[in-house]
Amino acid sequence: MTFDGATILVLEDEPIIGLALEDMLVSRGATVLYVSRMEEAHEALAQIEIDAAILDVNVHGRMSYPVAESLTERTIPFIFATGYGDSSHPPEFRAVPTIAKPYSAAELEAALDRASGNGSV
Amino acid sequence: MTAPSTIDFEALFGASPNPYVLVAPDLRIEAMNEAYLAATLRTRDELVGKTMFEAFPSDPESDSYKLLYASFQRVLETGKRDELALIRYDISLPSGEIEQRYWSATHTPMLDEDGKVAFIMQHTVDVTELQQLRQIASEAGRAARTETDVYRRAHAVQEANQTLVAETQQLRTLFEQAPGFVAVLDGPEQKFIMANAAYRRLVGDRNIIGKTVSEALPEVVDQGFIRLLETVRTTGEPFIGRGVRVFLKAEDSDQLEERVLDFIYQPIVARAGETAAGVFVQGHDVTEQYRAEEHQKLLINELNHRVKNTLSIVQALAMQSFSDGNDPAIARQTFDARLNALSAAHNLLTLQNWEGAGLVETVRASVSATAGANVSRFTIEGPEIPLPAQTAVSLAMAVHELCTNAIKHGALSNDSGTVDVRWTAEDLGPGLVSLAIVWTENGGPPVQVPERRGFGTRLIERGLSAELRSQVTMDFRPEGLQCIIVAKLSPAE
Repeated sequence: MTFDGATILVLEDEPIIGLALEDMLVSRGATVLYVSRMEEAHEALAQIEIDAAILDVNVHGRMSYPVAESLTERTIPFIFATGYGDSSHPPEFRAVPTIAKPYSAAELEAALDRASGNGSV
Repeated sequence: MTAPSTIDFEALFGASPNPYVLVAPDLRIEAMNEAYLAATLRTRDELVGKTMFEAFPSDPESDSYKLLYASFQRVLETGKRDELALIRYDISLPSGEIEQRYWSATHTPMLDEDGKVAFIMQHTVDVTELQQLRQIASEAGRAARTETDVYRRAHAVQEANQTLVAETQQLRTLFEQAPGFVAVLDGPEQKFIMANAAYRRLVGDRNIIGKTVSEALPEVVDQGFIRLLETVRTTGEPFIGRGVRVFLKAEDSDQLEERVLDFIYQPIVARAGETAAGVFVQGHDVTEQYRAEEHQKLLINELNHRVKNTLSIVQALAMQSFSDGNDPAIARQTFDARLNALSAAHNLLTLQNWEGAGLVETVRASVSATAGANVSRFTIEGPEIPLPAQTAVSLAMAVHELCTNAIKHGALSNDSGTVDVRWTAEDLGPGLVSLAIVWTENGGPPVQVPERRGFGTRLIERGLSAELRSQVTMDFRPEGLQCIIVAKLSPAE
């Protein structure tokens, strides 16, 4: 996956982690749309064309699966990032690439590659 | 001779040559026949309405008293006939003299419609003559040998009975007080014939004795236990269950309550090869232990999550501190200071079991951790508001970045500048508070608007606005930075 010119939605409720992730993506040429709440993620999806998404699983105590559903409907590739090592997604999201925090830039890239079927986003 | 059309039982009772007396459960004498009056040398008026022990007093510490009392109690408890093969029970003669008497007594319960003991009928035989025969025997030698043997045997049987009764009572007490639950189920119909206190507590103190399992505990029918019991009884193979969940009706309620049990179903087999007569149930309620283990698993999982999250924050702080172009020595200092601030925030949270931290202490701790002795140049004022854990960490890190900025470029970069941190809170209804935090620096060197937005500024601007649903304005006034955070937040519970 090439990041250059891609718009990537980041849903992450921990601002410090979100900022670092944003930097990681921006330094690879991506434009980042950073949101910390699910409502904002839904609003962003309704208004802006995005190429890929990275979703924190537990956002302020709620699961981000509704956002994952919207992304699936729009056929936008996405991955999950989670702090729960043993998290098990609902059946429809079992195949979604998931990276465990803390993750490296390489893990992030590899997961996004898998999500987008190795093509460019 | 023609048979009478109806038999007059009262007359029969009265005319019987055997002495009978009828007592109520409180041992009050209700009725007796003539033979009884003759045997005890009493009149009816002397006896009716008195208790057995009022009518025939004896020392409560004596064997006579204890034996008789215990026999009545056994009948009342078991609803079954009890026999006293031999009991010495002296009675006072009309002359006032006390005469030594020996008796053999049978206590037969008369049950009411509910199966409870309504009366106890005592059939008593004066065997004092045997005692006299024994004396004669000792004088007359062999001739009276038989009678002596009868007496000895009766005496021995009675002693053995007493021992057995005491042992039975001891076992019964052990069974009743055993910390684990114990019950005995009889026959293919699985009828409760015994259940100890722990078992009765488990099933909400329901009346289960004499009932089948499906009658006594209807809620377990569909939970597989009845089939399991039947398998144990027919195969003779015990069943050991560990951590088995069962849903039982709570006391005085139709609500089902989950209990977790360790138990064994042990077939009761009299002789090898025979089908089990019943099933012995024994076990422990391990619900609390099980819940504690579940809770511990949850806690460990949560701890893992927090550690991972904290590591991610540390990773992010490292990335920000060591980003390209920063002087490595300064980057290292910046990183150390950020770790220190994060650690201070965690200390606060640990004090409250990670449920949250107060706004005042969060600001103070962060300022102290970063500004050190310069904390005296701060004025910190505002109402205490409980913050959720994550919000407290974000706020602490934001305050750290503001402090660092003040030390490097702002009011704390000279010897005289001051920082004023104050906030007001407004209740917006249930679970929502509007908070306005104003950070004002004064007395520092003239402020220059930074060319580049550093991590600190970005964290304050975006991080806090994300975390606290807020708006942040950074006003780089020449006389000192003013940062205003207006936030809506849900205070911690």
